[in-house]
Amino acid sequence: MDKNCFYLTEAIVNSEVIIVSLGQGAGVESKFKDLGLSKGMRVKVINAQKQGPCLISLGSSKLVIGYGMASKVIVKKYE
Amino acid sequence: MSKDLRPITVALVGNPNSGKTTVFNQLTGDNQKVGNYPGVTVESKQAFVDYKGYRIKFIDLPGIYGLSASSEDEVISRKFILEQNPDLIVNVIDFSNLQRNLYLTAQLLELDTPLILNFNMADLAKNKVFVSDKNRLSQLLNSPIVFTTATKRKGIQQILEEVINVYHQKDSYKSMVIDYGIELETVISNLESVLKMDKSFQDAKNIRWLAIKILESDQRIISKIKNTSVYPELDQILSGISSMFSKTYSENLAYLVSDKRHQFVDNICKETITTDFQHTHSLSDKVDSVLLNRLFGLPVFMLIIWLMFKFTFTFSSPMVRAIEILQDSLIGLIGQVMAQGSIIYSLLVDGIIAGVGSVIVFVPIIFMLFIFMACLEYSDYMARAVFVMDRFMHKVGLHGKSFIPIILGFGCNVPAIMAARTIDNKKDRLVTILMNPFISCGARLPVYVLFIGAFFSENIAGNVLFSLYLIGFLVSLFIARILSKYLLKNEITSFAMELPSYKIPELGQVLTYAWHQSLAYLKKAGTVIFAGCIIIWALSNFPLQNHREKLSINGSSRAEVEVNNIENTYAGKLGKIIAPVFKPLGFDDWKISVSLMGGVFAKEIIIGTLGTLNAEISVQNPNESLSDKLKLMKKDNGKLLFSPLVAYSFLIFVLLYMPCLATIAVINKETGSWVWTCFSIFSSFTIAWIISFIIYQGGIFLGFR
Repeated sequence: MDKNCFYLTEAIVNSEVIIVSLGQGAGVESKFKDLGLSKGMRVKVINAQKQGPCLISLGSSKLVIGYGMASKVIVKKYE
Repeated sequence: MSKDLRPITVALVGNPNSGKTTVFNQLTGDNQKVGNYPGVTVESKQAFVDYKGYRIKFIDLPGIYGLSASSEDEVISRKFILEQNPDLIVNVIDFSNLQRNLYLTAQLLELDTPLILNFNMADLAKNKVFVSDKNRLSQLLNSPIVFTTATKRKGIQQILEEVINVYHQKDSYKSMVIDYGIELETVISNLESVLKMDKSFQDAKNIRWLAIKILESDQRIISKIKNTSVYPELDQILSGISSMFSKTYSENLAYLVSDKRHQFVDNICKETITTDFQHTHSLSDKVDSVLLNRLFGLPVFMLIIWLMFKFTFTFSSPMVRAIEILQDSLIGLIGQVMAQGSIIYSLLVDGIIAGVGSVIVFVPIIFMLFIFMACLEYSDYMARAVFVMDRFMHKVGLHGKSFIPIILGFGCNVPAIMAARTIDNKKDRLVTILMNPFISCGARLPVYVLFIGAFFSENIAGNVLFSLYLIGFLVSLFIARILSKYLLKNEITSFAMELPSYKIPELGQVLTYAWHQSLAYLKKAGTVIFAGCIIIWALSNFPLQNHREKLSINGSSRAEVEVNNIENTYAGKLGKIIAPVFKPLGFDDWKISVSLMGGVFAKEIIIGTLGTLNAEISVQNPNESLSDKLKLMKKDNGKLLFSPLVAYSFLIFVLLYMPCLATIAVINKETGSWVWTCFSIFSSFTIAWIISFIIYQGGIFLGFR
């Protein structure tokens, strides 16, 4: 993993991040895509917990990402 | 059905939370439950509307984000859309989330079924989403657009008009061709030409769609073509392309296909839509920063649930008493027009009023409980609970989404167990189903209220009630932990779901919801519980010879003789056989045993049975309520049966001992396994016995009596 990248669960609350990778697993990426979330997208982290779920906002909607998934999503800081 | 009406079948399809069920209810005048979290609609529901010479059948399908279904409820929607061939689809779209909702639309556009786009919740999005050119948008999406605000019935009529319009042009409808770019398009046409070589596909209407699905490695489509003559060749093409594309793009094919589809939507949105979301979530976000806080989230949730039960209890008590008084005067009235010793009098007073009546008394409690539940649901706090509980649920091998069936279980375990369909993973779903019967449902509440009212002081009543719910919840977590650790070992999967913004619940909506739940409770009282009480009354009055003896005795000694006789009836004999099982738990009384047997049919029958079987106490104390009668119940040795400790041990047993018949049936249906159904029955009985034992014996050890 690039040193500028980190897991979504480690993101600072209220910061904006760019999705680098959505994690492996068949269908996981497509599922995220159907929910409106894809690589390269800029999202705001509303709530993130080290060992818990994350809440992100993208445009008009807010998504809860369960801990299991959030701990596999890799992001980098938006600058 | 009238012969002249021509049938049209219309499927309502859309993302979760887009308001499909509200649109469905408004279109059809039906009253399906509406909710703001996934899982409220887990089955397809249908209703008919007669309009302009047509009989339109509307089908409300579970919400989906795409056509590649993974959970059981999504499979129901996908199957219906692809296999039942509806005449047309109304795609219900949350207008404030237009772009995201259109990703599903893009997939629907590629089908052969004509589409009507229903931009719903238009009022809510008024200042947030702007369509610059509706006609252009409609043209780009190859479908008519209808704006609605379904909660206020705005635009509903127009949907019906469009259904007729589109139906008339159905034969000339051509599905949309989305451009997947030159590389993918070459592959698609290759796959198409191979497919055409097989006879079974030559007549297929939409061979392009099939080719795209194969490219997306849609497992259900692939399993269908596996046995055809062309499969080996298709497979060869696919593996060739996969390796070629992965070198260039480092992505899988399915991702590339969906990426192109999203580009198609994004381009359309760029051309016709502008959005302003700057301040949309500001207040909601502030509230969430407290309610979803890592430290406060869970305590706040517990506090809200505690308040819910406390207020349910406090607010409904006066109404319960009022109904009790009404019933007493009804008994008085019957006594005036009928001979007190007759068997009809006994059936009416001891059987029906004492039985069904003692259940009806609790309607206000059910009403209050569901008022609070509706407020929590319609304010969209319930969806937050999923977030708050995710971390916690991971500790028992599940994730936050499994918490939705738990919340629904506070109302009734049957829809709760069905809601487990939204969980993707089969093992997770099974664990979620099996843990649910321990969640205390609304039917158990009247039993608690009756006993708590009788044996605990008013200032601790709310806490005692809350403790029962908490114990039920903890036991259900314990079961989940055991199952997922030892019997259904599984890697923890996860979920992603949308979080709706907070709303102020509409009073009408809340009252309607509580009203319908209360009606359902009354209906149950008039059917299952009515039948149960008559059976119990019959069992406790026959063999009839006892009854004749009763009639021959009059005056003050009647009651005593009756007590002796009732023990010789079928109910008495049956109860006495079972009663010893409950001796270590403190309630080894035959009446209690009979009531617990009745409770398997429906938990409220426990009260009905106690009402019927204790009717004889009313001869001594004619104006006592059932809760006062419980205080007078005696053991064989003449000592009082119930102390607060025994009552609590009994309530714990009622909470846990067995799923009711309807729940057993739904467990069997949803798991498709008698083994797991029996597991649920036996494990719950064993756990109930053990915990009641610990409480009763522990209580005695600590000096309670």
